[in-house]
Formats: sequence, C-alpha cells, structure tokens
Amino acid sequence: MCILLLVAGLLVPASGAAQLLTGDLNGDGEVDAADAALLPAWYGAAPGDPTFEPAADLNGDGRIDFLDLGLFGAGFGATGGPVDTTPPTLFVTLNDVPDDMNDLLVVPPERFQVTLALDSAGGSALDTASLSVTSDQAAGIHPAGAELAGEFTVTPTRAAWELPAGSNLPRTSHFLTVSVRDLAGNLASRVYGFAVRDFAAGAPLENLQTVFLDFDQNRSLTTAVDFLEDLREYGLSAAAAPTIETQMRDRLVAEIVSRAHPFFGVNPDGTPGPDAANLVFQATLPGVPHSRLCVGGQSSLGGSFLGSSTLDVNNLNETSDECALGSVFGVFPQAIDNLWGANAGFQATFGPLDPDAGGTPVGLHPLDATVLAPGFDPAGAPSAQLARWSAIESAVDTFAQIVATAVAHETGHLLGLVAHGPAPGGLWGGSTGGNKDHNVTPGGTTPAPNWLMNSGGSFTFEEITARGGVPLPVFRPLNWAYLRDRVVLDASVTGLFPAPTLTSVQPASFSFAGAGSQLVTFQGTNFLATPGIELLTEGDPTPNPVLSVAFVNSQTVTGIVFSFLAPPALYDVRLRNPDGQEVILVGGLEILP
Amino acid sequence: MRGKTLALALGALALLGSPCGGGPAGPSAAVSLDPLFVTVQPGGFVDLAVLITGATQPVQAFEFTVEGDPGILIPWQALPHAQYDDDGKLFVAPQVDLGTGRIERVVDLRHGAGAPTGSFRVATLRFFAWEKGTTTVRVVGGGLATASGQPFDTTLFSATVNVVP
Repeated sequence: MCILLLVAGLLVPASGAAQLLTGDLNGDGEVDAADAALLPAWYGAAPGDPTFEPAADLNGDGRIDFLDLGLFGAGFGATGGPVDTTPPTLFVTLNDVPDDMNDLLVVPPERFQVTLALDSAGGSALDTASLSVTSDQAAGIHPAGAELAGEFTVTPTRAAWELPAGSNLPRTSHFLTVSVRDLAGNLASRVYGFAVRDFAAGAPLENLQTVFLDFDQNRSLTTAVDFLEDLREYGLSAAAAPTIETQMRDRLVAEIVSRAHPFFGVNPDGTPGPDAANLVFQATLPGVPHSRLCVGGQSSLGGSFLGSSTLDVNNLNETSDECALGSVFGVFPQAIDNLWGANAGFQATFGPLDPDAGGTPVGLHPLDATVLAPGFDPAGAPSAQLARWSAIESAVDTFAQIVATAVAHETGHLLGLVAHGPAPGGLWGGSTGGNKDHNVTPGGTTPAPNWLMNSGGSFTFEEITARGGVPLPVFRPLNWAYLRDRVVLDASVTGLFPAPTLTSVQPASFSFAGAGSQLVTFQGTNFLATPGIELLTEGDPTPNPVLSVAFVNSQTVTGIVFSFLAPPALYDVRLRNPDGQEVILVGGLEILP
Repeated sequence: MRGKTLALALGALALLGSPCGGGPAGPSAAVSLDPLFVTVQPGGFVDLAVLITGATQPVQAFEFTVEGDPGILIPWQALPHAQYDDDGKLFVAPQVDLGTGRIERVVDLRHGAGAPTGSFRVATLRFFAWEKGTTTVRVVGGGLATASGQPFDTTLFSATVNVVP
C-alpha cells in the first residue's frame, strides 16, 4: 500500500546547519504572510531569469511554479522552526572569471565588469536591497568610499556592473568591499583586489577585425578547390551534379559563416549582438584590411588536424594571412572523418550520403532535385522525400557546425587565445604539448567544461556538434573578457601594491658647475625595487632618464642625473614602479645653468 | 503540463493515474470549464468557472492558462473563486494576452491544512464576446499540485462558447 504523508512544515535540507521550514523564505522560523508576500515576485522564474531566487524553488526542480506553491501552501502557518543563522555565500570577481583564476586580474580603466555571484546557501532568500559595494579608489563618477551598489544590476543570484566608457579609473590597485545579507539578516562580506592599467599597444579588438574565410583555394593542387573536395568526401555534393554542387557549396559557406558569428556574440548576419566581440567574418574578399583563414582540404601536419593558426597575443597583426604557408594553417574538414569517423552519430549522419559508406551523395539521388527545391515543404512530403530531406539536413547541420566551431577556434588563436601562463601576463593558456596555446586549468590539465579554446583533440563528436544534450562550446570567461577588451595582459603586475608617492628630491635645485653628473636622492613611499625615474620638462617631448637608480628602501631611492641628458630647466619628476604604477612630482627638480 | 485533452464530456470522467507501488493511484483530477456550453450575445460577458472534479488528494495549489479564439472572445480577467480561495485574491496577477486570446498564469493556493478534495471551483474566467461565431475555450497549460508538491494527473475538458446576435 502506498501512503502519502501530507505534513505541514516539512523540513528541507540546507547546506548549512539550519534546516528551515519549507516555505520559510525569510528565515524567521515561521511560514506566514511575510513569506507569502515574497513569493509572487519570483513566481514563474527559472535559473538564469533575473527573478529566480533559489530559496523559493522549494522542490529544487529548477523552476518556481505551482508545485512549489503546493509545498508552500501546505507548510503555511507552521511555527517553531529554526531561525536561519547561515550567512549567504558571496563571490566577488571581474568579468565572471572563476575563483581559481582571479587572484591577480588586471583590467583597463573602463568597460570591464565587476561581477558578484550570490547564493542564499540553502537558507533564507537574499535581501538584494542590502547589497553594498565600495571601493578604496575612485570609480567613474564616484569618489573613493562611495556606495556603488546602485550601479549594479542585481538579481537573487548575480549582480554586475560594467564600468562605463570614460570611467578613467586610477592606474593602481583597487580594493572592493562587498557585503550582502539574507532576509534573516545574516551578513556575508568580502574584500577583493585587482589592478587597473592601460593597454600597452591598444586593446586587442579596439579596431573591427575582419576575418576573410577563403573557401576557394586549391592548396592540395588537385582538380577541384579543397572545399569542394571536402563536400564530395562526405557526400554533401558530387562532381557529376555541378548545379546542385554549387547550390550546396553556397549554402554550406553561408551556414558556416552564420554559425561562426555567434561564438563571438555576433548575430548570424554579421551585425553586432548586445555583447559582441568587435569582429566579423566574410566569405568574399573584403574591401578593408583583414586577416585571412583558408577553409578546405587536409593539413600538411597530419590527417587529424582540424585546424591550425598563428597565436597572435594582443592581436598585434590585424592582417595575418593563414593561407600562405602551404597547408600548415587553416581549417581542414578532411580531418572530421579521421577524428570522429568511428562515432555512431557521425556514421548515422553521413552514412546515407557518403559514397564510401554506401550512401548516395547529394545530387545523385533521384529525389534530390525535389527535396532541394526552394519551395519544398517537408511537413507535407511523402515519407521517402522526408527521409532524404532529413538525411541531407542532418549532414548539412553537422558539417557546418563542426567547421564553424573550428573556424571560431582558429580565429581565437589569431586574436591571441590562449596567451600562455596565468593572469595577468597570460590567459591561462598552456605552453607545451597538445595544450600549447589552449586552455589549461591552474593544475595544467585540460578543463572539463566544453570551452571553445580547449585543445582541439579534447572535443568529442557530441561536444563539437551539440548533440546528446551537450551545449556548443563557448569561450571561457577569461577568454571572453580578453575578446571584449575587458582584461589587460601585463606581466609586470606581480602583486596588488599601493601606488608610490614622491615627496622630495634632494638636492631639489643644483648646477652641474662643470661636473658631468649629480647624485640625487628621491624620497616618498611605496617604492618597489627598482623604479624608473624620468625628468619631464615643457617643450621637450622626450623624457630624460635618471640613470643608475638604486633602491635603498621603500622610502628612498637614489639616481644619477647626467648633464648631457638633462640641460638646465625646471623638471617634473616621474617615478614609475616596476608594476607600472607611477607618480609625478611637479616641479620637483630644478637644474640651474 | 501533465494531462490529456479530451473532447467535450461524454459521460463519466475517466481519471488518469499511475500505480503507486501496487497501492492507490497517484493524485488525479479532472479539470473542466463550467458551463461546458454557453451562448452569449456580442457585447456581453461570459464567465467560465474552472471546475475541479474527482480530486483524489487535496489540491494545495494550481496554475492554469486558458485560451479561446481572440477573434470571437476577448480575454478579460480572472478572479478567485470562493469555493477554493481563502484570502480574497489570486496568488499573482493573471496576464491577459489579446493576441493569443489567452488568460495566462491563473494561480492560487490554499494556505495551510484543509485544502479541498473532490469537486469544487477554483477560479472564474471572464471573456468579452466580440464577434459572432463558435469557439472552444480550453486549458492549455498549468496543473494542480498536492501538498507534497506533486503534480496531479489531469484530464482536461474544454467548453464551447457560441456568440450569436
């Protein structure tokens, strides 16, 4: 016999010590009108929705709906439950970079994102109105110490603020103090530090990067261009049916381009999406400066290379040509068979078309003219036509998606992914073996998530085609931040040090009086071994270096001013620590005639 | 939603359910619109009650979306029903979609113990008769929840509204 127990005040498990009454959303030990007043704002939400509050998903099925309402209603009126004493969890980072990679991030003075992950930790719901964020430095229009929470878009699970253009944050170390409470009043607080610097040579994608996907090369020096040979290899076209072959070629090129764009946040038609990298693909020769990536054929490096391209950290070369060196660089669809030919999904997809597998290539089947006609409607088609149409569509979908993913991956290399080593000098890219130029974990292994810049050999057929419920790969958050010019690669930042100050120069005024040089002592605070010191004067665009700078301690350095480098003038003194932080003492040194 | 949509009622309601460990069936109920047939003049209002029958367990909460032909009936509003409601209001404000002819997210709950079983009305749906014609009004989404947060297996019955001058 099955007995259903309907008990008011069911307990739900929680990650903390307290197991609150079911429906006790404010953690006060009671399920009452105060809780009921909270629920409507979250009703109907699912994870990812701005109103999704995990604490209200009482049955944990990922949706706040009438089933949760059933639990809530049953528990309504319960009293005497435990009071929530478990603080929420709060994770502070930039650009959604995860905890194991955000210890020392360097960002530009504007347009990066401060991102907070919030979680009620199994206790009462978050009190999003309690969020507080302050910085020890000025942040845009806000002075140091001002409350910044109002700038954030806040949901029960995430808060984010993108610093607007023109924020011009000080190029120094910044420390955020963040706190939030749950509805029971439990406090979570964190201090998070990061550094702000300028891009050394401009942001990697500050100029629109046009990438020409060249499908018309014959680098294999055979009778047909490489891409057409690829189509014939997989039965997607046949040389004996040239009209349909042209139709298929044009369709697949269009599909590949339109599918490559969304990896970069670009709409399929090439227009920018709401959060897009500054990039566009074209399949015809652009009339503007561009990089070129050839698509077609087989790599001269081996039959299993789906693609290869040059790693260009900081995208310094915006007109690279990845077709020039034989078939070393490019995207090579011939490898698809070598990589995944044994996969059942691959065989089921291409088997009906692939002549090597007994299939009939597109263009040679008697139904092809019908099912490929522009007005063909599969909804009302006879079963034989529907079967042929489905076989072609499945192969087109799979081939286009694999090639588009490879195009996006190789383009990532062209743009600088994945710069070797940890942040801030790199982007957590590997430097050896198969992981060279690809994502690695802090432990040096291939990451488990399906990131687009994982090593090429790590993708399963399902991962690269989004089959079996596996989503398509995406750029890892740190890679995406780089593509959006939200992170600066600067290996000189080795810690979150305070900015230097420069208070005095001794002697502050002197004449060389026939001598060739003068020893000068600079005093201030927060000097790092060993700063660079330059003398700046109006009308002279070239800074005059102070030589033989010696680090005495964090308050004192010495250097030698040479007469041939510093003619008589009133100078501003600029001291720059090795981590790029600098200070200028206006009129700090006068050299007399 | 879990459930089956049947044509107009033709006799006893066949309740659907799945075995529970060889014992009693899982929660089940029929959901219909009352009255099943109604005639109204253009320019008038028609009220349809959401009627639960044969609920084998207490109905602790519900949600429904109901749809008619927007060219004939303009969805107007949803109201709680005294046979179910215990606080004078629906749980969230229903949404009226004039384009689809839907009244969406008709939601309510019973607070605490004593949720009803058997047969009762849970809400009233009001439509404005806009043009002459005949339309079916049917439940297209939602469901019933037990006190333990389980869904009912529901059998759904639609209503027919004739708008005649």
